[in-house]
Amino acid sequence: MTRRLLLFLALFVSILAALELFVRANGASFEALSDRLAFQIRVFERSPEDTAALFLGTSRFADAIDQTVFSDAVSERVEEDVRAVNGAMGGINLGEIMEFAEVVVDSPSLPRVIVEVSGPSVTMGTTKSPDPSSEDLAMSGPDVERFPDRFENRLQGWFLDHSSLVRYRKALRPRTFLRLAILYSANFVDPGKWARKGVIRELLTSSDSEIPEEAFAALTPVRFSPDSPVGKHSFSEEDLIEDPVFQGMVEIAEILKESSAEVTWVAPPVSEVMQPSEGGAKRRAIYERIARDYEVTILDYSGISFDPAWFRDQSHLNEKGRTLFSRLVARDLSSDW
Amino acid sequence: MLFNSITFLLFHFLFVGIYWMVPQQKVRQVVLLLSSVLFYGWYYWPALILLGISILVNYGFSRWIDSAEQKKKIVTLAVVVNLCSLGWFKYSAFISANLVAFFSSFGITLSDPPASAWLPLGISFYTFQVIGYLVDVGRGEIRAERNLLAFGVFKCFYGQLVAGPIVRAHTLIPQLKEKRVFRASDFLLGIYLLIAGLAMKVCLADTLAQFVDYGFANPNELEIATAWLTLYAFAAQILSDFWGYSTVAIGLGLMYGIKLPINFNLPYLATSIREFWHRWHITLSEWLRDYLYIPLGGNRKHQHRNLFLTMLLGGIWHGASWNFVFWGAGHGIWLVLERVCPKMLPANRFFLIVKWLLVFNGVCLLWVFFRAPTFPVAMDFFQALLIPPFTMKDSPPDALIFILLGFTAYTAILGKSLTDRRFLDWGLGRQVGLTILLVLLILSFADARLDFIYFVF
Repeated sequence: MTRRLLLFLALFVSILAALELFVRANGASFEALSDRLAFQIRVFERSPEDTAALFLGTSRFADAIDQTVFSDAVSERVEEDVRAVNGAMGGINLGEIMEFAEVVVDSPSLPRVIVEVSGPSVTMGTTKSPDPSSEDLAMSGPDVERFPDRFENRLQGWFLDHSSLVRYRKALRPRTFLRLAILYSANFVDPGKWARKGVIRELLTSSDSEIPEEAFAALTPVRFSPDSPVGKHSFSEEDLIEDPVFQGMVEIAEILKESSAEVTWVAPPVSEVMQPSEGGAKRRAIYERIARDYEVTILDYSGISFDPAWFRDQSHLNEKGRTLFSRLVARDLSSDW
Repeated sequence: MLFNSITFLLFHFLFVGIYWMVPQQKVRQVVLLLSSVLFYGWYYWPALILLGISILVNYGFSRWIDSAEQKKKIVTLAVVVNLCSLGWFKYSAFISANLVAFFSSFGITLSDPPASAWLPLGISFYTFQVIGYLVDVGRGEIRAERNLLAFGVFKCFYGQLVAGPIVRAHTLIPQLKEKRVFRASDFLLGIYLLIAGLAMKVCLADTLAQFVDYGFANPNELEIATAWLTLYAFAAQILSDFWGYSTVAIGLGLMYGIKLPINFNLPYLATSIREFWHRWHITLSEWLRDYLYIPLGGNRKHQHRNLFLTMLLGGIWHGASWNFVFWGAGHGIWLVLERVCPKMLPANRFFLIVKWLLVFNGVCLLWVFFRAPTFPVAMDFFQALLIPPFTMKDSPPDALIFILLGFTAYTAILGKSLTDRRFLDWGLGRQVGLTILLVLLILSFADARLDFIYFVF
């Protein structure tokens, strides 16, 4: 048995060392598989050269846009083959959206980007780094006061800094196989399908996406464009500048103005209880200002009456709502495609 | 120090190395005592004072009992002293709050009596372990341990100090005193159990915790399917957490050449509540049987009362709240009913499945009391589970379903290997492959370190 123990330990250590070397050698791939944002960017970068539109936003956009429905609807209207990619994802924050926007700037062949107007909870977020380094760990958190926690944090930090296997450990989750499948099937299967909540139920139930035409025609957004007349409002310059939604939009718009892509902002629909009070006067003022300053179009669907049956919660659309909304956005964008 | 920390792994392998390098068993006892003191003090060093006092006082009591003629009185005194210590640290706040509420209902206002501000880690476990020892000495089943060093290690061996298994003196003390011979098979099995137990904790228990925490914090938001899945998630979480801890403890012991008893044996496969308690927290069940149920009269007289009282007190041992009282009482009533009507269902394969379903779901329903932070929350959770109208607008989180499937697969494939030595019969490739796979799973799921659930008991 002693021989078996020694063999076991030797093999165990050798395999871990080999894995460490393998992960080091393929650091970029493992980074993409271990971090949501890096993965989403990788999916976009793998999309064909002729991709005509990229959606950028949070889980609301991820749930609201079916890229296949959108692509088909636009293709039908403009009578040419249009391919869109939905790069929106759940759990994203402002810093991550900005990081994705930088990728858009570096993609000169992308003609159009459609950005979600996010809520304050997202725009007030900060840039997230996938794994803190030893220095971050040593400096952060309330636990650092206790020596045992500080010691443990330093140890963890050391391993994070020196072992790729530890740094990219999330790439080792069973979900990685799903991610690999998504990555390599992204050109023919909508990656968003797998990331959405309730995917199992959707796979098991037949999707009834028939939308009444009269309902469809009645749903029109409020459109803000650079040359729209500026409405009167009682908000001071300070009110607007200090608004987190305004600040978030400016941060992203500042990056995207360097891009050759045409930028459109879209505010997705919300259930009635979430609709802005007093008709969203402040939002309107913000949209007017952004549209004028950055020469962009903003489509605001947040005030329209969406059937509660099209939501899976107060702010996220379900399968039926997603199909309808993708067609709506396709209709409203294809007029100036 | 937490088992699921890098500090602990370095600490453990350092002390295991030192332990096997020194040839004398006496010095090894010193190594074990020092490591245990460091382990316990690392978490919160003032708790060492209480542990030290407890070791000295109980050592004195055991010697006194051994030499006295009226053993029973001294045993009673020693047990009362230990229970008072446990009561002060664990139950004083609960008792004082209830007294204040009781008197205020008669219009008498009491100021809150003083209560302990902190709960020493593992106090319930080491108190029960030492009470068992004192009673055994009183019964004359074992002699009081003269070697204070060996007694100290018995009381605070870090492998099982914080959350068991509750070890009997006649099992552990001889292993501490006799010279241990390094057995490669034990060491190899110890490594596997350490890793397999950590995998249960990190990959299953900690991942399920986020769904359970949310569900029990917002029971009114749960639709029926999500409520039941949250309940199953807690059933899986507590088993993974506690079984994981016990498995790590057994693995640590084996690396020192010390065999600790198993604490779990696939409890959710039980087809009766009696069988469940033979499979769940086995060392506590045996302790309750030997030191509570039998002294109360056992099967000789008032069997049903004894059974109920034992489970009720077992419930209270888990924590100072009415929820644990109801949880213990629920199990007590169920055990009594099973004794009163032993053959309610026919004994064929179909009814075996029916019985399994009833037992599993019944145990899960009683877990509501165990997990809910307060009684009203427990009632809200029961409402989401059992009271119409039931809604089903949204599907439960996919991730929760996947993790529950992962839990089922883990226990089905590896469960038996955590209870016996079958790992040693496997081929080298399978042993290494499985261990590497578990290490990778631990790494991939290691995010925030969460305490073990039983640390608070």
